[in-house]
Amino acid sequence: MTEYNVEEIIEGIRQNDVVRLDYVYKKFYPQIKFFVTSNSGDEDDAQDIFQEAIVIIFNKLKQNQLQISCTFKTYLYSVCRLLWLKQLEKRKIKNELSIEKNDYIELTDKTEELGDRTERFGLYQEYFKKLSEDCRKVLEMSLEKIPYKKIAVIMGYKSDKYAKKRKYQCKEKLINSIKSDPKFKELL
Amino acid sequence: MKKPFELIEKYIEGDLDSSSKAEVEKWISQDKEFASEYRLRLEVNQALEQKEVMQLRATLKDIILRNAQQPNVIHLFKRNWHLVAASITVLLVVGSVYLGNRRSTDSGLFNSYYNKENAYVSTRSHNANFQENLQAALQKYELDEYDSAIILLEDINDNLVADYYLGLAYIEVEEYEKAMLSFDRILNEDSNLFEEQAEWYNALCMLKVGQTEDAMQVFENISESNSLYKEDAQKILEAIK
Repeated sequence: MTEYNVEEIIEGIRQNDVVRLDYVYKKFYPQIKFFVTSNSGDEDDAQDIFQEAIVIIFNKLKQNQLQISCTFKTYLYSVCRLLWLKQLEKRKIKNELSIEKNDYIELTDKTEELGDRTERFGLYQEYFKKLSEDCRKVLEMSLEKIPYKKIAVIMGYKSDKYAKKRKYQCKEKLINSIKSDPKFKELL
Repeated sequence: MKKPFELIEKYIEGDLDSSSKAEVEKWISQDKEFASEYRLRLEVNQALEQKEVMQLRATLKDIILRNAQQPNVIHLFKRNWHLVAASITVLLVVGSVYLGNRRSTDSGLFNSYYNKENAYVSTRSHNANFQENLQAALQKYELDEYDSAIILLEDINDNLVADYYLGLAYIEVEEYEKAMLSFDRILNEDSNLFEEQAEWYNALCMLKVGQTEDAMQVFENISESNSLYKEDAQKILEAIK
């Protein structure tokens, strides 16, 4: 397996590079899984935590907030550790970690806040992907500020009024689906 | 009075006249529930604008799914292996008495050592299309409908699980050269969880098509490694010699 340094890994995350992301998963996921499954979680929890941690790192990168002064392994583990402690707190499980054998750093930046936001956005995006294709397209175009007249032409709707009505319908459908998910109340 | 939430969307869109707009702004500043609904709808819009994040999530889900399948396949295989190994030993002893010339010996060894693998059919659904295609192919394989399984598996690119079962399906329809091509694709990848299996089945195929010298070389390598097939490779080598 080709090895990558921190900079190459970070660039891989920024570029959504499948090869380097696969490397990150193969190289670092086992210790995340061990940590989560040793502390009241299961494999699905470990996979969710791993994914959220990578998205948080990506978001930090985009906001120029990423400062790594340790190894990538330690940094990723520290983000996952923080996210899992929050999960345990939400699940009202005593969050004293029974197994902790990896190095970690206390994250002093806004990782926790960013973590909450990333998780909420993840839920919204999950339900957006479940919408019908025409709903997704209409919502995307409306957010890109494409005029409703043009949206009507692209989608083959009879008028711009109908395009706008359809956008409202789709947004309501999305909002209602999000609200009906049990996780939604936990995330507020 | 319950405030209508649909006004929030119109407010965000800039579709309200000035008096309605002022009213909505007043509700946002004074009514907690209304304010939280406003924040939700704004946040949803922001989330939908994060196209790169959505792509990243999709990539990560695919990677997790692809990697999560492999250990389960191996686990299943390892679990059954003791039974397979026991039956092989008996077959080898009985078979070796009756085997005649070298070619029939090699073919007999193949028959003794080749056992159909069960297909692992995942129930996880991170990537619906990919998952459905692979599941459909593996179900065909399990039902012994190898021609259909081959057609479906040939359509799945860059996936080690698909390559592995494609190789096994080709063995079942006695197309050993094609099976070897599938196993080669696995062996050409950097270290992966199917490597030992692919190496083993590839060598069995070599025996079957008469590439005995090449097969012996691979069995030598296996017998000197920590492969699952170490002992059986040694037995095959003894039988050939």
